[in-house]
Amino acid sequence: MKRLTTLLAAATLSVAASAAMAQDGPLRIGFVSHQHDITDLFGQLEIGFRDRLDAEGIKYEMFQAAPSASNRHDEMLNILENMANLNLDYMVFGPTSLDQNTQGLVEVANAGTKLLMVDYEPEEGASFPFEDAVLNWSVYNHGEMGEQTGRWIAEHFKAQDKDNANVIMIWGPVASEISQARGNGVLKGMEETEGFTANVIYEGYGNFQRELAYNEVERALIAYPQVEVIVAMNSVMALGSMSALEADGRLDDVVVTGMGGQPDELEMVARGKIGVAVFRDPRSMGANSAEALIMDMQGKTSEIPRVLYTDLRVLDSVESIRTYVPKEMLDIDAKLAE
Amino acid sequence: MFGPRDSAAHALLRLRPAKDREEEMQTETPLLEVIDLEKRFGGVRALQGVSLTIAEGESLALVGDNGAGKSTLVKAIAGVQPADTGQIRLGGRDVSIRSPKDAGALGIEVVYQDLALANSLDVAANVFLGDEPVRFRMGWFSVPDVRKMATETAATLQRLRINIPEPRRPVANLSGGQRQAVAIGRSIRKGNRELLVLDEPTAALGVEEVRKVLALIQTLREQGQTMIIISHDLEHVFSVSDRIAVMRQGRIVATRRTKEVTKTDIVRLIVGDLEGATE
Amino acid sequence: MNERINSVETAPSRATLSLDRLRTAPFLNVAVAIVVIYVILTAITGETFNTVNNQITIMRAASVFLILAVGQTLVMTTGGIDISTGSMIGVVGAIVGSGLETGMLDPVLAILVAIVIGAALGAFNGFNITVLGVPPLLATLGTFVAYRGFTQYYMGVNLVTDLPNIVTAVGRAWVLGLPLAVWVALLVTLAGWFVLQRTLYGRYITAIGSNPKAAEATRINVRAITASTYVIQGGLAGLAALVLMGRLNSASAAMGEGIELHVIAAVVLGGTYLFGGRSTMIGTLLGVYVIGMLENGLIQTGAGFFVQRMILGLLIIAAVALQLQQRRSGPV
Repeated sequence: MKRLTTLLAAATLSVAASAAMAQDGPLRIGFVSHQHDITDLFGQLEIGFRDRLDAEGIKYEMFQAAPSASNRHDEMLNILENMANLNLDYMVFGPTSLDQNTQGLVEVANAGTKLLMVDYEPEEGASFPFEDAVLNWSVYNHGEMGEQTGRWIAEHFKAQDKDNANVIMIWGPVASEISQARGNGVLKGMEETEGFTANVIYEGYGNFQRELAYNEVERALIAYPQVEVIVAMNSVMALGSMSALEADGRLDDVVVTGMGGQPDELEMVARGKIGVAVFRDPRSMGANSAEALIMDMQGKTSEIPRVLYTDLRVLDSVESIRTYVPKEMLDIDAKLAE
Repeated sequence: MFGPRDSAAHALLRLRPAKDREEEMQTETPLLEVIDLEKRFGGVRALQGVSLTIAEGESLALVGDNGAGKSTLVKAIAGVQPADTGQIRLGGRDVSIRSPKDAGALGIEVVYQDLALANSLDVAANVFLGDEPVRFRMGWFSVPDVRKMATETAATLQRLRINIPEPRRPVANLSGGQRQAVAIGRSIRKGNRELLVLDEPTAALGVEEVRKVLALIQTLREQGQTMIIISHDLEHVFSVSDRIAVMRQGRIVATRRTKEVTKTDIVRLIVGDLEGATE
Repeated sequence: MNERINSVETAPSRATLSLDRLRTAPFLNVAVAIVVIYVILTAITGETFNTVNNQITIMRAASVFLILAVGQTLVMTTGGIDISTGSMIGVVGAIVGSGLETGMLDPVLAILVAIVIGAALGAFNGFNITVLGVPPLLATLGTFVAYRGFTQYYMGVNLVTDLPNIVTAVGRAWVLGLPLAVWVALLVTLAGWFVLQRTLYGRYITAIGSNPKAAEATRINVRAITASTYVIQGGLAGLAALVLMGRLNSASAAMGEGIELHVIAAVVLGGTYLFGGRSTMIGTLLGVYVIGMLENGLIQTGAGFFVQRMILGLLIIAAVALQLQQRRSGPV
């Protein structure tokens, strides 16, 4: 009888000891993003996130949600309110708009869920009502991405002994902070390059959608045939713009620039149909978020860096793609071999 | 008696046998007089000087081929498509009928061939549609007096000797004859219905349903309702009318007392064989 | 088939009548669907779905849709449709939001102004449909595009944030155990139910949708009544815009985009006939709830995002198919 009690006590102790580090049941993790495309940022980010957790042997249940479009702030609010009821331990969150998601995030934070923010970077010195729940921001600098694109455009034309170019800008949704940051970065990058002037002859809104960008460019080509470069504020709009140029037989004399580095976009860069795509590695962003989660579980919460920037890479050749894009993300070699 | 509308009256009388004319002279003012109506649709003269009279309590059948002008005449009387020229007198008074509302205000009601019932409303709602008694008045948002409507509808249907087992169900569920009855019930609900126009009341009905509808019209006749009945079916026409007016190519080519004419005569008139018809 | 001479004298008792009515109620299927989906979601999501708190969350999320769905039900009763609701929300959000931001608009007046602007936008739809004779789908497709264009022109990249407390209270405050937005939506629904079921207006729009010729042959002013449904829908879009602004504590050019399809799906799901003449406000309430419940519950099942979308879409088709089936085989 005594032995049994001892055994029980020992068992209880060992369970308690392991609970300090490990989990009672699987973790409950929300994954909420403003879109969910397996080939694009969040799909790849999720893979990077899961891979890192799996490598650590962490058991978890994941609850995914995304609004029907990147600008559906109302749907996003509904989703966040729902998430607040799910007793989540952690939530990965890519906002539709930080300002318009604040209310929902406060509810999630109040429910005791810790936030792993991705994609959006907090402005310098900004603070949010849900601040205390945020473990970290795994982001990249959209403005910088734009600037690198802008500088590339300027250098591209200077290399051809031209000191100016006619530019069409294809923006994302009208009120998108991401679109603004990227586009203004492009303008800044072009402006700040000495000996180059950009003439913006037309600006359209493609809502970050392929078809809308296609339509915008198709129409713009008729009205502004003097165009020399089309700047698309994300990957799929670059692909849409490219298709429109191709359909019009203008691909040889007009340069398209994309941003982000979605696999199809990179393929077109490799084929020379898209001039450049500044790349952020979504899998490493996801891994960074997972890293913050792991550190929190290990009790090293205070050591988590508040903002983790993912490096940006200017990809404009097969060579640069080979160098910077993780092999497992896309089997691009097979495509290049064609 | 004719005064200023002599020519019209003569136009009317020209085509009618003397015996009719004599009788006409003896009766008092007819309920409805239609005088020299003209209606054009582009180059087509749909009504070419149509004149017609109906005595109070009379049941007049209007027959003729498709396109003979029956519908156009009815639409003119009902205000749906007012005639271009001509006069309409009701109870001896000149009246102006420019819209269905004018006609309704004068007590002229038309029951159309397609019945014009709102299928998803119940019997009482259809009977009172657009003219509901209200319990609480607030314009469009008035609350109708449902109980009063049900009682009055029941009374109206009873007067017509119609049985509708489930008056609270949408009229879409009713048989063709019952729907016809509801449509007629709606038209005669108010006591002041002077003239009832029935447009093809027996079209598209089964044998039993036809029998019921004819019985209904018979009931109306007994109650002294003045009616114009448009029908293709001469059998039916002969069973419920006092007089038959035959239209052809926008004119009334003949009017006959039902008792004094045969179906063959009417058919001849309809197809334009006037010689054969005038005995 | 029935021996009764006078049906009113021998009318079935009230109890059997109401039971009979329930059996043939147009919202029967959606009511059954709610119960079935509720039980299934409760079974597979564990403890998070079937809580009072979560059900309130569903209602709160549905409040904006419900306000719009009440107006849409009235419009669809006449045989019309209004797909410009999301764009009307955008216009109201732009004007009222900017007015509040610059302080030109008094926050208390904002509620009235929102409804009036919405009603005016709806009146334009009504005019185009009843006076110019443009089919409702095309008339509102036109304003769907034009109103959104105006919103984007007016707002540009601006984002209105930090609205006055009175406005945010409309979206966020709690009253008597429920969010104020839910109360607003329920009151609108109750008013809509009363208008549809108990007033001449309800009869007239039903008659118009059921048989416009029949309605025209009576004293009903068909044009004015038809146009007024779009005015009401517009006014409710104004109210919905205000609730949405309060919930988001912001307004942007994209506000309300895409909301209309959600609303139309809920109304049809509830048992309102797509081609007019038959409608049910209770069904609309339930239809909005079903979609809200599915969107909420499917996330909680832990199913992947794409699977959720597939199930949601297919369930909506199935539910509408059931509705139509009931209509064909049913007594009505």
